[in-house]
Amino acid sequence: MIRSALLIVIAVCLLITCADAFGIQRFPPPDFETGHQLPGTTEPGARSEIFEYVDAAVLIIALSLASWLILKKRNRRWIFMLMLFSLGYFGFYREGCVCPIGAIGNFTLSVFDSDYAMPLGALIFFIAPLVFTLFFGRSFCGAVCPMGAIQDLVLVRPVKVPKGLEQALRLFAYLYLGLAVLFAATGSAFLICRYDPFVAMFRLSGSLNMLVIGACFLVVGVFIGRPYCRFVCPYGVILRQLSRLAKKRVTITPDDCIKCRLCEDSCPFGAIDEPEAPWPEEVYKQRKKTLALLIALLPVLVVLGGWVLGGMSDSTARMHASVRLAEQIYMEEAGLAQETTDPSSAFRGTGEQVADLYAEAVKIRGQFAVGGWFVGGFLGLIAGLKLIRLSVKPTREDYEADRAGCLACGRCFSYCPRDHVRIKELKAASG
Amino acid sequence: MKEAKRNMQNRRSLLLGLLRYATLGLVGAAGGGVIAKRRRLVREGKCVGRGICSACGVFDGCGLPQALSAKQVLGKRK
Repeated sequence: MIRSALLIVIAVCLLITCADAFGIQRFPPPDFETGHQLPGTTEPGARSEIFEYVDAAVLIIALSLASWLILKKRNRRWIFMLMLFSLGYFGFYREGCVCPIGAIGNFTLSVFDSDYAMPLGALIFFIAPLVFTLFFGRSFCGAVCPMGAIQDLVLVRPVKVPKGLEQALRLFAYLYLGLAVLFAATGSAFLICRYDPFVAMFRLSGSLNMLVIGACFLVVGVFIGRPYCRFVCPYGVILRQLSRLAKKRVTITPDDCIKCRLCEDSCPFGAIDEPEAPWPEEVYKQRKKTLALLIALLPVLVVLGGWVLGGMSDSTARMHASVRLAEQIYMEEAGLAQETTDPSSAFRGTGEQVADLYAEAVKIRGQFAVGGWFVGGFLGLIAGLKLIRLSVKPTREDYEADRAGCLACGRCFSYCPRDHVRIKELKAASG
Repeated sequence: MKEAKRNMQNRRSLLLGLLRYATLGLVGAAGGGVIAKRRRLVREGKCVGRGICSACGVFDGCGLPQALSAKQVLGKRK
């Protein structure tokens, strides 16, 4: 009942957003002063610096509370309430900005551009979830991320994704992270912020394309739990790896697993690993050979990935405004362009030298070629390591939450009979 | 057998602990680097937001030419 009501609220929000999305400015505003007030932009305006720290404090309090609820209290209802608060505060009130996912772009640019340093508030947003993940697992994903929360709300009919397909789809998140870092490092674009599928909903305004993509994610999310978090989120890629090192992490059972299998299908994100029986001798020998072959193949995959993405540098470099402008100017100079564009006319108006622009474009293309090799090599490495992992026998005796894949939503707690015993004991102790 | 298993688990948790604190150090160093860079840029009187005043936290008190120009435009709109 509550879930249906929430779905209706989201659908109404979407409809309102659709109306705004059609209301784009189709003609430039008039130049003369008529006293007409221009409508506000779709991006949040500047806020006083003090509010950045207020937001950061709210984030840290929410992360602390989430960690306590997930690891100590083990209460899905309270986790859900905190998730709703985060959706309201970081999503609809703060309009999805600043968020740790988008802060990847700011952080990368801070590292690569000598004249840029990210705001301290954004830095805290980027670092705090990483630190919490190192100690308490993915409590940010479970109860604090507004993008995760909006997808969690629509998850009504969860369908299991086959493990192999899940592993393959996850590669897209690595590609997205690699490209986001490459474009931010070259100063071309903040890819994650530009293509954020839910921010238009949070702001009740934005591009129609992104709104449609966001709506598609929510429709898919009715059946496949949190598709953006699992297969696209670039920050999730970082959190997955850090979660492997977490000091404390989500456990399905509060004490010893009795292998009752009640939790087996409780996770809609496929993050519960079943106990694994030892392989028979023949299978073990066969897998050993496959493993040796895959390890030998790893450098080939790295080089292949680098070669493919490095070779695409001419196309990827076009994301940079200076490269696009240089190409347009070249076309105009060679008589290949039918007409000039606003940027090319503006460039000619500045009186700057065309040769300088060409030199800058060549330099940026070079950066994309080198960066493309790195990103491609990284992707090849990840693909190779995933293949290797599939041929290594996991040693597991109990049902366990996947160290990396568990989103700490707390759904599995109530499926464990030992947890019910714990709750009864706690109630009895408190009288 | 149990002893061997416990030793392996101890080694594993030690390794994970080392990796955890090494990562924490790396994250801290990266954050500290960004803060130091920001302080340097402010000290040198440079813009810390690449001239993009929208959503800049220090816009209100900023006296750089870009910010003054943006304030003038916003003032005209009001």
